[in-house]
Amino acid sequence: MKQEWLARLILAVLCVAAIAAPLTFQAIQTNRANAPTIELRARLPDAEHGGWSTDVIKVVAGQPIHLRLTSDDVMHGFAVGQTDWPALDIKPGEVAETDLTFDRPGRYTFYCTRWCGPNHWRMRGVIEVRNPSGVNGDASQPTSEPPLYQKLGLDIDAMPQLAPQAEQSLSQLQGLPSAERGAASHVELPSELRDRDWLRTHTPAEAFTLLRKNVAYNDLTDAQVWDVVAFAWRASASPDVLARGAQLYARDCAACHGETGRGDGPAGRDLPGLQTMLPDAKRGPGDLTDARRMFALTDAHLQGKLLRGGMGTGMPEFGSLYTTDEQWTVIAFVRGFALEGKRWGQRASP
Amino acid sequence: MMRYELTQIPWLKRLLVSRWPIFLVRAVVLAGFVLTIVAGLVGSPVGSHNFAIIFVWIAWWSFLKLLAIPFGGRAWCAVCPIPMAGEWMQQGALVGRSARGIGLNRAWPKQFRNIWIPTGAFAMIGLFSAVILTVPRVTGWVLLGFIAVALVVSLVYERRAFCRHICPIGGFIGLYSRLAPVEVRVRDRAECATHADKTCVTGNEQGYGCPWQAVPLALVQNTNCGLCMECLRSCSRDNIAVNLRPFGADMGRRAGRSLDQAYFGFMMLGSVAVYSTVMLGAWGKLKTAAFEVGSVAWLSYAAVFLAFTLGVLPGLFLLAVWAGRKLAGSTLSLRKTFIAQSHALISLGLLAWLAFTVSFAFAKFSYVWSVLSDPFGWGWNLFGTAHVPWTPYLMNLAPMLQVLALLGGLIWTSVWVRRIAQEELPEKQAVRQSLPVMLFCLLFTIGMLWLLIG
Repeated sequence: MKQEWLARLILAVLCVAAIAAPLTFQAIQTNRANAPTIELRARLPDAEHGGWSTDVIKVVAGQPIHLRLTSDDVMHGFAVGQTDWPALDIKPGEVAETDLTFDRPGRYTFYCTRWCGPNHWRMRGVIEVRNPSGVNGDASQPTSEPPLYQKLGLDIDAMPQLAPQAEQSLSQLQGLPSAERGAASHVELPSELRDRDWLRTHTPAEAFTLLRKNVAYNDLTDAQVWDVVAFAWRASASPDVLARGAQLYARDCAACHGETGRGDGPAGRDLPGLQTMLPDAKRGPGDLTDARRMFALTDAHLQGKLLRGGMGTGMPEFGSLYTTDEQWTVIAFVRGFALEGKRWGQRASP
Repeated sequence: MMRYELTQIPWLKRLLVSRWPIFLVRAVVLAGFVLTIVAGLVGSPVGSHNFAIIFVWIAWWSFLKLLAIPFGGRAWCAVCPIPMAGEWMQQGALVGRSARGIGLNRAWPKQFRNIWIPTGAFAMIGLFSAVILTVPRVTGWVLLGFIAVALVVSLVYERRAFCRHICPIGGFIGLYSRLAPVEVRVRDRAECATHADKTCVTGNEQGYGCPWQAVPLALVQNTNCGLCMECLRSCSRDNIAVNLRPFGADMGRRAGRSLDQAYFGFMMLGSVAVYSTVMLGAWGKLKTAAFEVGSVAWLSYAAVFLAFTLGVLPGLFLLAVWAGRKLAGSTLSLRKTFIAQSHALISLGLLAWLAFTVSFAFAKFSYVWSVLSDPFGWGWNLFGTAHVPWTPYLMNLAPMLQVLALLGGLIWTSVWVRRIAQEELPEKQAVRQSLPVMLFCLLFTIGMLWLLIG
């Protein structure tokens, strides 16, 4: 009988241990962390669900949190918008961990940085950072400076048209302008085209008109003037900025707009695009190589589109994700598609 | 036929007679089983990082097919934790001999004293395999379901009715255990004949009557012997032996040849072909169809699976047997010949499963290291192996082993096709009877070679 009880004891200990040991160990591991631990699971989002196991994380400013991130299916990424914290890859079945401390109260967007599926852009959540006192600050944005397009009062849903002269010259242009040729011509740029603020608030077509009106450039053909315009935009961004822009574009834009900016990315095929506003427009994301459209838009206009999103076109908003620098960085890179085509992008690739 | 009696070795016999060694192994396996269920239910949903998927479907399932069955027959059944709780309830003791068990102790219904239920259960596993084998939570629930069904069956019916008449894995092991080089048999049949008590069947103070409801005296093949060693304990005349024997020693036995066994064999043969196609083939749509349970594509997959395993394959075999009868001018009944000849497919089936297992066991075994350190996919690193990268092992050797296994299976089966034909027919007629069946086996082997090696 003693043997029987011993056997029962062994069996009970083993079975209880099989259940209790891992759960206890996990509880100890979690409590050992120096900061409150938040488990965040990522899974492929669909039309109904955003993909993160929780959409809102509440934290207190100045207090560190420990994030444990796992993926249920494919590789996802994690980043916090408008911060310079590096993005984290979340491999399926593995645990990615990071410690974060928010110094300022506000609402921060966390999002997936890997193209995980057709509804990737839905993978966003909010980190609400409140003051330690718990009073106010909950809804304030981390950045308070209004963006340039707002300062200029631009209607970003308007469809600006090219001036007739620019339109005509473009129709005669063989291929796209070339910043390289523009640089090789050793033409001195007028002060406006060396001024970054001017470039952000004027269109390439306006730059073309400005040069055409300037007698100093009378010797140049229309094609050469376009090369100078391309060079002006190219010169306004450093190689580092373009390399970073290429990374951001590849991460956030290429799936819809396509690797070469033609609007032929696999994730954009079913998007309505500009057809929402212009029934005659083709479906799908905007073609960033379309000189007629792109040369009629200012960088500030593009910033507005980027920050607010496409309002029915299928383009998500990036206002809560990008810092101001990142906005201009990606716009500088995107400009290259129409101003120099593939080569700009190729050279900018890291 | 040559035998070596293992129970002649005193220390080994003591080990086998004692209930403790088997109990201890079983208790540890049960704890592992519980851990597997917990991991499946609460661990990472990513199969490659979950103990439940890797240990059940890579480690255990491969171990069973590559080693346990070919060398130990039903040895796994002796330590299987699934019926443990039910058996404990029935017997009232874990290591002792008790008469205080609970349960209705009813006889298993006559109409189900066959392996049609395991055939159906295996078909169900096949239909849902893409999900069961990859989704940890489903694996967890399936294992829990097995324990629950085994417990309920044990409380209602006598002895290990679940193992013998329901468990699909038990059916699988039982079928192929005939090839294993281990057996439990009586030493001297005359001794049994004069033993009126038959304690191996009825039980005594030393041991229970055979839990598998086998009669050791009548035991001529392994299918219904669970190697639990109860007869070794209960035989008052010390007339039970555990023997080592040549591989495939049961193949010449006519006992156990029945239509249900034949169909189980076809289910096994068809399943391995379908699994090889779906899991190892390059047809993404087929994988998706097998995974999307309930969809139209899955229903089509299910229909094809069932039609192939239970219709096309037996139908082609029947055609081969019929052609053989015509060639041989045999007057034996088609049904009887079909059943007898299908018995030869056991060796073809086991070696096809072996070849199939080689293709993924070597390739995926390295996942075992990472889940050992992090069984739940919770970011642990218990033994420092959590980040061991996926590394396929022995991939140069694998195709060679597969070819050897499949060709070996073909030759072995062909030998038995002819020998079984010779049981009823003269030499020349037997050869003619065998030829179309051998052609069937050849075509199946070529198909498997194409699927596994390309």
